[in-house]
Amino acid sequence: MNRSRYFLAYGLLMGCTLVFGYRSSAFATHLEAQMYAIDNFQASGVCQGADRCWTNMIDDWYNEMDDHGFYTRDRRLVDDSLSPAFFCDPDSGANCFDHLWIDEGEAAFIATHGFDSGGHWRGLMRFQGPTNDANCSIDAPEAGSGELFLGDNDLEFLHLSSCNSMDDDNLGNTWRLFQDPVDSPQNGKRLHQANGFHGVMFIFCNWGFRYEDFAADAFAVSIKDAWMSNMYVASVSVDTDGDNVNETYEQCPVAYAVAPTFNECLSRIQNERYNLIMSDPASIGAVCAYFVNGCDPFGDAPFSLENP
Amino acid sequence: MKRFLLPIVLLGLCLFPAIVLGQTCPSLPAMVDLVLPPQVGDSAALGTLLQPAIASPQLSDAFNLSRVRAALEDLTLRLDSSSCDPPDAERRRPLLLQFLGRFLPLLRLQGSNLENCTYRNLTGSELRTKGKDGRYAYVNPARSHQGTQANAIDQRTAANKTLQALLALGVPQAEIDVDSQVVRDVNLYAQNLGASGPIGQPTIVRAEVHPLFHRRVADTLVWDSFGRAAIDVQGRIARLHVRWPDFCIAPGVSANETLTRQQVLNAVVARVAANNPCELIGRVGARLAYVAVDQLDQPLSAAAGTEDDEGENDACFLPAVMIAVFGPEAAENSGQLSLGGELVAIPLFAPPTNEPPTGPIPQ
Repeated sequence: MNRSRYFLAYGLLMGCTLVFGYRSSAFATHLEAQMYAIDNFQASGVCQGADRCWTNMIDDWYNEMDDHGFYTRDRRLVDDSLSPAFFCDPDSGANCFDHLWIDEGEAAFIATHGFDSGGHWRGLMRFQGPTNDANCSIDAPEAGSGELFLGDNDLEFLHLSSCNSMDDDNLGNTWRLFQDPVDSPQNGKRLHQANGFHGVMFIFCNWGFRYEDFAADAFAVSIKDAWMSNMYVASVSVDTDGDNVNETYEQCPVAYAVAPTFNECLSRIQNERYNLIMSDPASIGAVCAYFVNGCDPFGDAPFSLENP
Repeated sequence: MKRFLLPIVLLGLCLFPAIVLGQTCPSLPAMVDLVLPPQVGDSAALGTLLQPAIASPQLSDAFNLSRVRAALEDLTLRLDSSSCDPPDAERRRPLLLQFLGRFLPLLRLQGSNLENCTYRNLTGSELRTKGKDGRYAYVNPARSHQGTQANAIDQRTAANKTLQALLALGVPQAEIDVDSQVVRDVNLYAQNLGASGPIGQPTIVRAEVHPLFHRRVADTLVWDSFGRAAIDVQGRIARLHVRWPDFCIAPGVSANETLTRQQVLNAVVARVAANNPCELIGRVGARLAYVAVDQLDQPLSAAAGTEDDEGENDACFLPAVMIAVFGPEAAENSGQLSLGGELVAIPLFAPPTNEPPTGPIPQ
């Protein structure tokens, strides 16, 4: 019985390969991993934020990525002059160059503080945009607004190590960052999967092992499985009010994908790995996500799909 | 007197920024003092934690592949010898012997097991081991959630399955904190999309069950030691992640070196204020835990015996206070900044000197 189920699953996977056309990633070594992290906000003197050792964590993902024969460590940008210009799409405004930076690799991490802004994630930058952004931030899209339109140039997998990057009540808009409304309908290029957190996430200088295991796992099982297993944390149980009773704050990962159809969305999120990449979604007719039900972070209510 | 010079200088360096920064963030010291556990500064209480009963055998000695295969229901996992790193002693041998030793155990140094190995199955599952770090990761793609299958495994069954797998792996039973187990459902959400957003009823399915066990020694949490699993629709382990380094107390540290509560408070204030502008500090939390020496904010690797140890005792533990720093809580959808929560492990014992630990600790 088990064996027959295995062959059924294997047959389905092969069927998907034929239908959706996996890239020939099995022998690819040209795939690019990139990381953009901001550790030091105070030193910039421009955009107000607290310093964190994000790089200690993301570096371990970055270094693991080129240990499997598929990816090169293409770009590691830490602090530097990181501003909205590196992440915003040219169609969203002037002085936007995502096609030269974040949308130029296959897999990328953005690690910075986040906001829950209306119905979308906003990421804090180190410097203001040259002309079009006075608030030191990059905004994921909502209807008729936003700057972060990805995948229309190259990017397949976006990982956000940032608070509120996948809040439950924003999932109704998350699909919008998977394409550029201007270019994607023309060139058929779109983002495949994005991963983030509901509520506040944590930074610990010694948590590189979580990010390293995430990368290593995602070459053997789906990126979704790797994200959900390695990024969930339940050990932050601390006394915050002096009553000698610890309050527990969870770290709540979410994995999210899009596709033209409901079933294709499931197939993508359940099977795509770093080394098993489907062709770009031809359109966005369905969304799908995995989440930790009831996960209760700092700064937000427990995850509930009553909210979208 | 000369032997007290170094500690005095170190203490001064520690206190000076705390005093300056404490003045910058006037409410921070009180905020920290409120949440510091009562054991901080209590040399008797902390001294007890320096002498815990340690379970035996620890994981690296108890690891047994046959038992693991059975618990994972993955009987054909095989060692991929080419994936292993030879241990340090092995690395010093001639290359030819090292190479042959990977395949012929008789040619390996006695007692020098291969390290950081991967075990694989033809169906794609793999078990990665990093013995020194106590890290074990098992992933099985054939057990990943597919389609909209609903998982009916109850949480108690899933937790028991995970517990049995941890025991089979060799995790000491006495260290598994069953009382603080966390079991969460991981669900699938899927929905069709119209031009302006999701349309129709969403499909929501219980996909996997994720039990998580923490580690406890002397009734105290061991920070960053855990075992967690993903249980699939058939009740099998789809993934297992264990971090359970062998437990030891860093040698060379005694209760006599316990920092006073004020010293610890100053260290916490200095550390928090250095990274966080005052107006962005919303809440501070604290708890007592055993923390690996190399995870402490001011590494005490020198505490771990002689220089010949080459940092091996960095993997040993000491009681410490874990600090969590949160920003001001932002209202839902407000567009207010949510600071990533910062976690820091602050030592509770003074950095050791090379002098013998005699006489009073300078205050």
